[in-house]
Amino acid sequence: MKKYLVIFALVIFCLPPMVEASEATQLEADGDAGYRKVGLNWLMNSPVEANTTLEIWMNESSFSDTIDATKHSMIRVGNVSGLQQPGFGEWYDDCSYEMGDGAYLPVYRDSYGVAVVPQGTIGVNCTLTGLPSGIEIHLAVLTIDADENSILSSSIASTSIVNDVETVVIETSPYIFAIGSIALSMIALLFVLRWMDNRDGRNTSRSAHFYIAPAILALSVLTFYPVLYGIWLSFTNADQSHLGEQSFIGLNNFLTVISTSGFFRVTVFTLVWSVVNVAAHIGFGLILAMALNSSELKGRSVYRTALLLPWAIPSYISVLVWRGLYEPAGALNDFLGTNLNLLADANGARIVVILVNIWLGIPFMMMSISGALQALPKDMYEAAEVDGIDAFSRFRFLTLPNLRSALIPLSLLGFIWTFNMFNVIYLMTDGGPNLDFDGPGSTDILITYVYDVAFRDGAYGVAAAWSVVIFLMLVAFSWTYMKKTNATEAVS
Amino acid sequence: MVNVSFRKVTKRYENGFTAVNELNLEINEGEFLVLLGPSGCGKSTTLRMLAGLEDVTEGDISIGGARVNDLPPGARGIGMVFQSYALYPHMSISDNLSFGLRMQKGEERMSDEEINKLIIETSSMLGLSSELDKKPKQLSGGQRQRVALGRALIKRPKVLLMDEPLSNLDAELRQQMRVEIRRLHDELGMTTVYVTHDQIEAMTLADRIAVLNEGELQQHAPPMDVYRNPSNPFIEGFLCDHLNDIVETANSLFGEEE
Amino acid sequence: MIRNASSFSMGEDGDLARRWYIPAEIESLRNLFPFVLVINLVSFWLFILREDFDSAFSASMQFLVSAILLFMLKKLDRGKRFIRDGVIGISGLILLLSILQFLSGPQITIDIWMMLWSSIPALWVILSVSKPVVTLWASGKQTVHSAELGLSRNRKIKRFHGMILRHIALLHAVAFVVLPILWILDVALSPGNSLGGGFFEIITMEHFSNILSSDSFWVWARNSVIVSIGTTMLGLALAIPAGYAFSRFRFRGRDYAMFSFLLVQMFPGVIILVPYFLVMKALGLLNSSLGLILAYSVTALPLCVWMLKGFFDTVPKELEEAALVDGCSQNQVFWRIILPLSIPAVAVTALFSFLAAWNEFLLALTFNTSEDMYTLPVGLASLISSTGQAWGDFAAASLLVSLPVVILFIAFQRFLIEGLSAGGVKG
Repeated sequence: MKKYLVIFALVIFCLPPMVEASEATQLEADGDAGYRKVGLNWLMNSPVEANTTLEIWMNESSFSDTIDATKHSMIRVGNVSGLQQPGFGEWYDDCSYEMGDGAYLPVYRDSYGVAVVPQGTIGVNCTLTGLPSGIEIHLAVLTIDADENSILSSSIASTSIVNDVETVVIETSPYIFAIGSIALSMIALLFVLRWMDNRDGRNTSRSAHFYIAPAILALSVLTFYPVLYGIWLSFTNADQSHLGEQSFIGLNNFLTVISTSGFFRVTVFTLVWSVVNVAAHIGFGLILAMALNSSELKGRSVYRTALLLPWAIPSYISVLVWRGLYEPAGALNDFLGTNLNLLADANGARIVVILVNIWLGIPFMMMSISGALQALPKDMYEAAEVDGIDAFSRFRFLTLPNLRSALIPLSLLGFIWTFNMFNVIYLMTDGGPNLDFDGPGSTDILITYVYDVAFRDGAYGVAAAWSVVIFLMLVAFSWTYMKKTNATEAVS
Repeated sequence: MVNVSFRKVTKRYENGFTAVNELNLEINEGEFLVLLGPSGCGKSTTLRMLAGLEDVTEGDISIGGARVNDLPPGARGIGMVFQSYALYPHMSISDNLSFGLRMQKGEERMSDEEINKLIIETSSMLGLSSELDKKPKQLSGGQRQRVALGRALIKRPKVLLMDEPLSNLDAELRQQMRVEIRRLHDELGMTTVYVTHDQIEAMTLADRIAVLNEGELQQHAPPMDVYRNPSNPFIEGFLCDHLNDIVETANSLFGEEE
Repeated sequence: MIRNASSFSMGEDGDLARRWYIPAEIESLRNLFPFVLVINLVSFWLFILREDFDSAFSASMQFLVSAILLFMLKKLDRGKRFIRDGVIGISGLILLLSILQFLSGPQITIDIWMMLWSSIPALWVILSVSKPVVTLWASGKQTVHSAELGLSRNRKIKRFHGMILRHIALLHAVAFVVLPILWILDVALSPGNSLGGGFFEIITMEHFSNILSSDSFWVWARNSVIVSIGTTMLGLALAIPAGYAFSRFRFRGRDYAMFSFLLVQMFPGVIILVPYFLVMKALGLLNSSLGLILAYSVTALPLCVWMLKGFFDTVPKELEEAALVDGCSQNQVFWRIILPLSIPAVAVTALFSFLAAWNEFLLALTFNTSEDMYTLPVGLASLISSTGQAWGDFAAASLLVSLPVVILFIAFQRFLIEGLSAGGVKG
């Protein structure tokens, strides 16, 4: 009751200068809307005009200025003809509007997924998702009218439920059925192969199929099956509210994926991230492997042991340690005599995560290249000395070309691993700093964003579609890379 | 065409082991010298010191009268054939042959046409004209050996060094190549130093043989002189008795048929 | 057709020595200065970050002057005495600039490092180039004898310089690697949760005792141990027979099976994370150790099979054939002969599986979301969640968790690498 009085008073005081802009009033928040969800409901004090934007802002404590808060999402007011109007439950954030007759209709969505309501809307009801659970969240609505005047409603607090108990129960039996049938068919396949071998008179390896059976079974049930299931999921509308009774929606998820704002940005960053990392790993790995490659070097094994440490230490620990170092209060600033807060800036954060991953990945490349270096024939260097070739040319024309056959599969492997390197990004910045709440943050790579879509927003179908897209990208890349470098000979 | 001389040349390792002890050896211009001896006698070490691949602990090595102890191998005007051929595995045969020539810098660098001419000359001299675009792993052992020889010869070195070049070939090829090598030496006329443990190769190829044992020079004379007048029991056993055994075995196998 | 002239013309005696001789110091300096230039650039960039524009300007001047010096060093040759004098002059200038710049700055460790990198090379240039040996060479009046002496001196010096360069490169790399480790040690031993401050000023064991006495830590440790041991046992049980079969038997479907293992290894499990999660959820295996054990065993399976196959390939077939001739069945051969022989390889593979499970973060984070089922990685990360940052305790826990892992890894690194390359990358 007190809330409404305060708001009412604010409205009266602010009314004269603000008579042009509609303001959101009578906010109500409901923390029991579901798993990490908060329902938010408000009325406008006058029907909204066209070209107005309504922004939902949030913070962990009350706020009166958007500087202190984070934008969650927004709703535009404008022309809705030709736009899609997904039904309730078909979108992560369910929003609906009413024009004063009390009938709530689902909002429209434009091609970027932004909600649009027609002018004249009086009331809005949204179920916001992706909110942290168990803590108090303050929400407010900011109205920006066509003349760029903005007015922030006062904020209202809500606590989403603590237990994160999911409201939907999954049925187990379809899964057991699927797993069972896969297992049985693998067993059948192995028996058939064995029978065929027997029939052909190849008896020396009679028990071979038994020996590989457990491993193959485990692989099929726990790897191939999830892969197939994931592909199927990507064609359904599985999410938090639809688990167990999801329906086939064709390529919709893929459209969502491609039309996510920031799709291009996150893909480009993932590529840049992978390429720069692999190049640095191989470059520095090569230099260090060459430096270590002398049997006369004193302390050689000490150096090598020390340089293996980034590989030996569990990666999550290293990443968190680096995070501490890069904090403004951390030792890096002390060490360099600077006063930087790199992680707070989009480009700074990108550079930092790349540097950390370089630190992590050099030892593996160094050891692999070291092994390849030692396998090179030594006498060809002596022949080159007799031919009068100087040391640098020997490196350039003898060492490098011969390393190529080892470097190609290594670089491909490195690229794939780096492309999917979750720990560094998640633990360093969690994809932030965010440019806005939906969509990928500035240091998100594809798979950290998939994680967010799946486990923050609960949109499993869309996340599965993302995974398929990532997989296809990797296959396409590997294929072209192998073709261009004839790597297949080297790998087999 | 130059002479080579070793004056009191010694090679001693850090652990005290002496591989070559005060070697005095004069090799004449255009001579085919064979360094003969059992494994570990220091013959390869001597060759490598001459090539510049091993340091000389004491003494002087001279090529053409100029002391070369500290000159890098590429500056000594030598060509070398390694036991394992040491071809560049990733390059074609013509690139293998011409690599040294192409990498020269400055005034000494020949033009590309001159280099190509040399490639054609050398490869036809060795019967490799049709293999020029192939890679080493596509060739047989005998062909690879000839590429190694070609690579050493293409720069028309003043001294040709060979470290047991025929030991990886089968007997028939070995015989053929022996004849080839001697023929090439006679045609091109360069001083050749040839290392082997095979007594037959030494006897058939050498103008003079230098026998080494445990780092010391045992005898230095033309082959028949060494055979007829071995200067110590070691040479008797190693060379003369061995050759005599061969002749006896051959006689006992084939003699009755005659 | 036979060319008698040789491309290595030998003019008078010893011309060769004179032509080929360059003092080793000059060669080494020419190789060193590009690195000096790089460090100058790094200094410049650092000063910009510090917003100390005066020093940044002086660093850019240094870069320019050093570049000129490098150019002159490359042009320095016999008979170019005036270049030699110029080189000495410019190096003096660099030395001066570097000392002035140092004195005008905060003079912390990194400034000392920058100063050493600009002043020591300059100093070395001055010292080397004024040596009689080099002066003689530069003046063009080199005799044959002195050239030969020079060549012999060169050999030893070049080797020495080469070693120094290697050591410098390696030391820098080691510093880069060790910096975070030293820091975390400091945080673990310093009171409170501050990240900066003095280096090893006050030593306290409070964080260690906090961690060791906290129940959650032991819960996490218990979970990790259960999961890792389970993974190892299950993984080995699956991988040993499979590795053996791939190594010894030729059977229909062998190539397809091997290829499928390779394929799985190439595409990490992150891509199947979502379906994995849902399957585990449906089977009720979330927040349990069994779920993680199953997932980890399969993730590590291809690599284990590869390593074991590589090992089995090295066991001579004659051993088994002798036993078969003696009347053993294939199975008996496997259990009685092969397995005991393979204990070292199995041990290494077991270690590898154990470590892979012990260090794994993503699946543990996704599957086990309730605190009492956290494994160590997730638990440790939760010490530094965005709410409440217990850096001190985290540091202590990290050290406790990492130390055995690192020791095991280092002790067995040789085997791990051999094992990996026996079947894997090198092919």
